[in-house]
Amino acid sequence: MNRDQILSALRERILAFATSRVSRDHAEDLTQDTMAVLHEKYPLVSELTELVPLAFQVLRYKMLDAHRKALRRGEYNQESVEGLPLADTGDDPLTQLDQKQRVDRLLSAVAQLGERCRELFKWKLEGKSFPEIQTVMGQSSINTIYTWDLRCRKQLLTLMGGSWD
Amino acid sequence: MSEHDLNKLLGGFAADTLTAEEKQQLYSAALQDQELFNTLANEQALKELLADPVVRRRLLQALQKSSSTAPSSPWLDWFRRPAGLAWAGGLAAAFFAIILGTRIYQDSVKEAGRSVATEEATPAAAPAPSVTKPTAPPINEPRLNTQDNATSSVSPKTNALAGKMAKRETTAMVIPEERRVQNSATDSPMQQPEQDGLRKQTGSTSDKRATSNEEAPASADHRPASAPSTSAVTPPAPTKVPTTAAPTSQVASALSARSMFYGESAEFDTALTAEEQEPSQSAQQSGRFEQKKGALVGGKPAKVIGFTKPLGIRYSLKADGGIERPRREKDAGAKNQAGSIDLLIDVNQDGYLQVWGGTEHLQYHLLFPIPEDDQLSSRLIAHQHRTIPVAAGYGTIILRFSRILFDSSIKQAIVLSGRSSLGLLQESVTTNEASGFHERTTYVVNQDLSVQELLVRIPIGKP
Repeated sequence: MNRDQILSALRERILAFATSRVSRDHAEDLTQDTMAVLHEKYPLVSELTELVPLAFQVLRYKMLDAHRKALRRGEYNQESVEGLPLADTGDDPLTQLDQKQRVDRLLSAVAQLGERCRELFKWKLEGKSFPEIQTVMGQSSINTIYTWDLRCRKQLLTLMGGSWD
Repeated sequence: MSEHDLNKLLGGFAADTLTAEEKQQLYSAALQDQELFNTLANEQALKELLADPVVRRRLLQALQKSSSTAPSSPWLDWFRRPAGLAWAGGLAAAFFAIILGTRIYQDSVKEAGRSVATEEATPAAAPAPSVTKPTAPPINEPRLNTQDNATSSVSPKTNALAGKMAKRETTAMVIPEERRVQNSATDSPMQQPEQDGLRKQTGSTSDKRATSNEEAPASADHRPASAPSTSAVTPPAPTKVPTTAAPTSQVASALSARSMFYGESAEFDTALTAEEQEPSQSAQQSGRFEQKKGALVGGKPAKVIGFTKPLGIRYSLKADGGIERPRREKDAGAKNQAGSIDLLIDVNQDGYLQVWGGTEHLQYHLLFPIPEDDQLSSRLIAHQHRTIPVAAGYGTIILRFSRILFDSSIKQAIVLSGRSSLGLLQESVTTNEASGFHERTTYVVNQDLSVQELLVRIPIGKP
């Protein structure tokens, strides 16, 4: 697949995903903003394995921006603009708190995992690929590692409350 | 890799540990599958979180701390796996099944061996045999008093010895009163501790050989000398009736016909050989049968000779299809007044059997097997009960049991020749059924191992 085909497919998927989260109009805006970033700022990225994760990252940032913008505009709760904090170049305290809480939840959830899941998670954090983990764990089939990882990830997601956010 | 399996790559996406090939597969599939795309988009939050080096380091520290505090052994890991648990459970189940099956099999074998013994309702707590009694009670003393004396005079140590004998033979062997009197008379110089009395009983073999002929006429109508309990309604104890003057009757004092019938061949051979080779030495040994079981007697290996087991027959008579008739005191056999008699036969080894019948007016003729079958004998399997109907009117029944097939030339003449019954050891055991009926079972064993044939005469008593 060339870059245009990938971007075309990405646009379709991004729009469908955004529509499932926000309204259709907002989804169209989000998709357009994301594609604009990919076109303007990353014209040289053409590999599928780079373009797709990049699109996910841009989309997430755009969705967070839209969420903040809606919050700032009082679309969720009608508050006066004077009560809102001033803009900061760094992460605002709300974002920092959200980040801290997510990390705490993740640490707590990881601590509740079983021994095998913890080992698997540790090796993944150490940067080992699945074939390397297969060797380390002494398994003959890599599908075993895939299955274990899937179960562990589901367990971790459950322990975190059903969402990574 | 199927689309379903591509979901398994999601974990690698968040940790950014996918290989190039895995990434290519996953992202290509994500562009085709909206659900997978949504999932990847949701995983992006975790991916960002794990992409932060600070968060990654904290997570690694937490994981390493937990893994160091809870070290796992390979065995525990193996047991935690479902396959390991299944293996362990299967092995445990198989192990218990084998143990249980072995026990059940052993119990069934034991029960089969005891089935004959248990049906004779031998009292469980039989007292010591009368041969261990140091003093002989008066002959005319009531039976109950005799039992009391015997019970009270026997020391606990002797009771323990006697208990072993009773356990070994499962029934208490009691000699007739006359014999007990004679024993007490001949053993009177040996008023020693009770435990010595038991040894002397089998030890003084040479003395008793001289008196064995006098003991031989002891008839079958001896009353039991002792009973296992002091109750007046106690069932009669088994009576051992030495019908012949066997040269080795002293062995019979320790070995009853019943024990020889059921006994293992090696034990018997060893006992007999030891007794014949070193009578003086064995006289100093304990008279208990258990002590003769060893393969070494006096440090010398006992020689096992000839056939491994003495010929033995167990028989009982029943009238009218198994209805047991009441016991009569002076009854050596059984007589059915109404109809035929069932002769129940059991042998202790494989062999051939003939049953002859005779009356006062007719000569002996073959009753079993049926002469029309042109068979001279019928093969019997060891310890397989056989019931042979005998028509009424016979005064005497003769059983011929042989290890070898009967020769066609040997027929009636042998039966009528009145073969010597030397060496025969006979013991009758009476069963007390709950219904009040008694059944007498007789064991006949030929102590001579070289004898190929056993001849048993069963007189049918008159009412």
